[in-house]
Amino acid sequence: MKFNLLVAVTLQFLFACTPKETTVRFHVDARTNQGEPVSAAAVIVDGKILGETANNGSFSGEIKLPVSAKSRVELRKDSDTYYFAPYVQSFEVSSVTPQDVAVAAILYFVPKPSPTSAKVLAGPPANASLSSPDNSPDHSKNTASDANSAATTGTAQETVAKVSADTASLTNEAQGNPQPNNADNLNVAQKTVPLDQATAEQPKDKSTVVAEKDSESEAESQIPDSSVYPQASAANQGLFIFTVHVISGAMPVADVQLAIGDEESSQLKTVCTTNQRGRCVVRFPTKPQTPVTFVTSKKGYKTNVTTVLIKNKDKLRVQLEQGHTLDIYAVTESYGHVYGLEDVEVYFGGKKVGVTDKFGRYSHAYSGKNDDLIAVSLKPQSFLPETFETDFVASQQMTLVKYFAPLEPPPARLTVLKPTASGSISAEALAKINDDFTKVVQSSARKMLFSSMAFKEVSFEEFEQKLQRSGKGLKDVARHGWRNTDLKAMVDAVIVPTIVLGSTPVLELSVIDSYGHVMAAGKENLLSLDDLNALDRAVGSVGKRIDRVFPFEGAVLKKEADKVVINLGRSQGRGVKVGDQLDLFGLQTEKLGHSQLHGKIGVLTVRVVGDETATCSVSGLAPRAIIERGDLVRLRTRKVEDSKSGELRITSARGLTLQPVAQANVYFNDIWLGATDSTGRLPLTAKGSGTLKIIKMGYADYTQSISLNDQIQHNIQLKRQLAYLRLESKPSSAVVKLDGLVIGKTPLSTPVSVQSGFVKIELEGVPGYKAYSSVLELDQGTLALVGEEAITLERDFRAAAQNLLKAGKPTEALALLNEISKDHSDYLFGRHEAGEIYLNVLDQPANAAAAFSAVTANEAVQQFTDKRFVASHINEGIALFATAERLATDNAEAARAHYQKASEVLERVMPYLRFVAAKDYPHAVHNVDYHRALCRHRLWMTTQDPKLLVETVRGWRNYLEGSARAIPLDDNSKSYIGNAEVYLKQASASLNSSRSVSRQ
Amino acid sequence: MRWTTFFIWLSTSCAPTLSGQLQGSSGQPFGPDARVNITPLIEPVMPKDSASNQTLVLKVQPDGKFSTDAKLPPGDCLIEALVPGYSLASIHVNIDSKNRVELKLRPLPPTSLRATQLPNGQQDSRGSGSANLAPPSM
Repeated sequence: MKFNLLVAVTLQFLFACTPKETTVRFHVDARTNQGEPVSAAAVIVDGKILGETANNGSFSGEIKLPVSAKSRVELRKDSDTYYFAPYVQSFEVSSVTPQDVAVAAILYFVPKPSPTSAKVLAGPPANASLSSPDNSPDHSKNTASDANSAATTGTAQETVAKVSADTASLTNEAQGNPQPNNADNLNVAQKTVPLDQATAEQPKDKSTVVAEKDSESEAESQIPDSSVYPQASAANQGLFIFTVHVISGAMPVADVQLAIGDEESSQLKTVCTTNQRGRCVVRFPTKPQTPVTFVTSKKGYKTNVTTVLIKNKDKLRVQLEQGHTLDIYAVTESYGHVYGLEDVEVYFGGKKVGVTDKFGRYSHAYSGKNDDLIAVSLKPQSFLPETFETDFVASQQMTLVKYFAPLEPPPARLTVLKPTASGSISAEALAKINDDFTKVVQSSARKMLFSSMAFKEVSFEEFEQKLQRSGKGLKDVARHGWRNTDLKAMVDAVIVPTIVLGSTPVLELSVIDSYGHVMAAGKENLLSLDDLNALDRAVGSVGKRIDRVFPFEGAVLKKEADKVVINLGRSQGRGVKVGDQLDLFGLQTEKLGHSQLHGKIGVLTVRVVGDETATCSVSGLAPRAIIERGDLVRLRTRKVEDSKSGELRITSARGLTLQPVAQANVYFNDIWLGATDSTGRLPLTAKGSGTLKIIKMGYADYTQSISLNDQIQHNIQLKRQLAYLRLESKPSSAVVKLDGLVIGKTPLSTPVSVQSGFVKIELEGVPGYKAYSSVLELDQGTLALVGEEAITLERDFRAAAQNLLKAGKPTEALALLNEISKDHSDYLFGRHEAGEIYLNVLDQPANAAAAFSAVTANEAVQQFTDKRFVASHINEGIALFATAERLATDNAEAARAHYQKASEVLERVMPYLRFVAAKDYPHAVHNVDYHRALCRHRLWMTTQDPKLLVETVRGWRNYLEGSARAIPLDDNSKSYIGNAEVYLKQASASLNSSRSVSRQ
Repeated sequence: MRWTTFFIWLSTSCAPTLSGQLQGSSGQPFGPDARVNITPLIEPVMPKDSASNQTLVLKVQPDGKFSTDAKLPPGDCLIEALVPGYSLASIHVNIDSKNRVELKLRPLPPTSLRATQLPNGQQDSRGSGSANLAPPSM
């Protein structure tokens, strides 16, 4: 008994003292199936996260686990671009003593089908949103948290560590520095990650990776990225059509990018992308006089370059070969204008292989293997850097876009426009702002601005000629810029002199860039308009101010430690000063490290100024960016103070609404603060009390004492100046409406006052004449549309003809429609309606065909760029068919010609039937399909051509199996179907018997 | 020999032929593209100079009559009237000597060539008139 009791107590004691848990230490080594370490993989034991693997894929940690229990360790990794299969391992904690568990985890992975990753891997900077470091999610997200305070390396580390990087690190910083802020060393599929763009030289130093909050994000967001090359051209429109078909072997190739070379601007501009049929249409406003270069490129194919002379409606067939091409673009940027550099020497593996063409392009068909390392060097003439070297790992698509900067800072090309008047305008004052006045302003500007090396004058006459060719007006370019026109190759900015009239005339000079932004402005009071010497001095004085605020461009000469030397100094008209800030543009490695992108990468602050150069410190540098010789720098506009003190919002009343006023120059205590943007806003950077003056042409001047403090939005309404309108019409007695309001009848000999700006003028109410409507822009002064300038109303032939038709007088209606001359706005409609009368009422198909063909002969209608007259094409075809039927008995040959022509016309209109009005669509489809097949049937019957017989059978089958089933029917189309079945049987029987005869 | 020749002549001269009449509804003559298809439906064993078993296409006279001297294989035939303006019509007949067929045709609704109209409300009133619309220069 005792013994039993003793055993029981001992057992109880043993069980009570046995520990239920023990410490288990885990040693994890996580790798991919290719043997590469996996970082940032979560280590989870029995549902509890212990931690994450380091860069080298290792993890060590411990946890208490129950003894003799089965436990589970898992490794999981999330990634934006790859799916990682989780690794799971079970084990048993066997003993009470702490134990070590080694886990050698293999995580299998596959790429995620993400469009973002596809773009990144594709490489060329075709997507502006990827091109700019400002827009990259990495930059904006990471910099937002850093604000204006100096971001520490630690902060950058935390930020970057959160990024689940799946690619190998590219910079020496990452490779040499095993800190967690570096990208994970995960190489996927290849030893080194292929670069689709230039890899900069690996930086030897470690620049402080500090991100700076962009204090001018609004202004910069308005400046489109200029690093995309080839750049998109203006809208592909015009009447001169050229079609490009891209094939590879016999197959069409879709999604091929087509760029054309513009010799004047030395630019390559993408113009279109081929569709599924490999077709791309290029439209020119006028016929190019010289041969045009076409560059076709697509991943997986060798880039093709062809130069051809353009003829209207001509075609180019481009045969693409599969393969790899290394496309090199050597470009430079000058005040937003990016263009190619000619004759840049290209070296592969140390051997010169060629030079870039006039568009800065060089393509090299690469015939080596994937993963080969290609060493590429570029040597421009008189540009920085003198030699650029990089390596490429051969892959499917390789594009190198390298920006060079001129050795010497380029002069800004300006043109001085003619002065315009604003304010309280009188005829007397206007008379003084004449040609002499203009000449004084222009020669003063020449003396004050263009005598320095900082500016270069483009003559106004030259500018005006080019402007006319571009189809834009002076006001248009001053208001909206000329970004998307060829003017960019000629002029960087325009100087707009404005004379603000009032008690004291004021001369204002605004410098407007190609985006329509006011880059700089200044004003000066004049004693009087007669004092031309004072005008001269005033231009000089304003010119100096402009000099101080103009955003000059230069280049980085060298970088030493944290100092950067640039080629802008105090002389040469650029007046750089200590404390000035410059935006720096260069290369930033993209987040996943697949490519490098060109854009704004940092800010420099001037510390020491020499005559020709200045030394700057780096105030901010984007992550993974490197500063190199030849990087572009651009002076920021010097403001009074850096900190904002509110915002100005300028509007103007138009009816019941308030509309923003853009490009209004704002002065505070005579110092130009800036100009409002398209929303009428301007952030204020001045403080304190003073006089606020706002000048905008077409509006009354605004002057007010104001106190600019704190974060206040100041709303200001400007009043438009009045303009005057005199109006006559031929014939008279037309009711005149301005912006929908009736103001009287013509003639309006007494001037009517109207708010300046855009106004809609309508004239109507004269029997037998069409209403007239137009939108004019009125400036101050009087617009007199009288005498020879009077508005001539057009006779309304169509309405009169319709009335005659309704009255059962088709012949009289026709006579009226035939009176419409070719220059009348209703000519095409008139011809079409005449054709309808001939066909529907008078049963004269030959005359109907002639009338419709007068419509389809119009170039825009013929090419279907004007889609209003698709019905005219259809009717022409039907009328030709009907004419052929009439001729069939007496003149078989003429009938055949008409059937043939009808068939061609109906064939050509087929792709455009969807532009017919909805209610007429079924009728149109049946008409076209049926008569097209019938024309072929008739042609076969008259010629007995066996080829035509086959086409005939096919035509009937297509109709019966296609439109006849799919398109709603009416009585007419039911008969068409019945007849089609008959004709099909006839033709099929003939086809079968001809085949069995040939077999025998 | 002579009796053989006679019997051969008799057999060939007795091979069946076909004639017929199409009837429209309005009494209008038939157009020049009116046809009749004759298609034998069984494969007979025939002398070489007989009509084969393919479709025979006959032209129809304006009065609707059609006929053929071609030697048709005896047996079932499909006769189809293919006349534009009329629905398809067909008949099965068993061909023996001197066959005559009549077919009544149903007319389709007459077709009319109607022009397609332009989309409604089209007025081209941009900049009409000869006024010089540029404001006077300042």
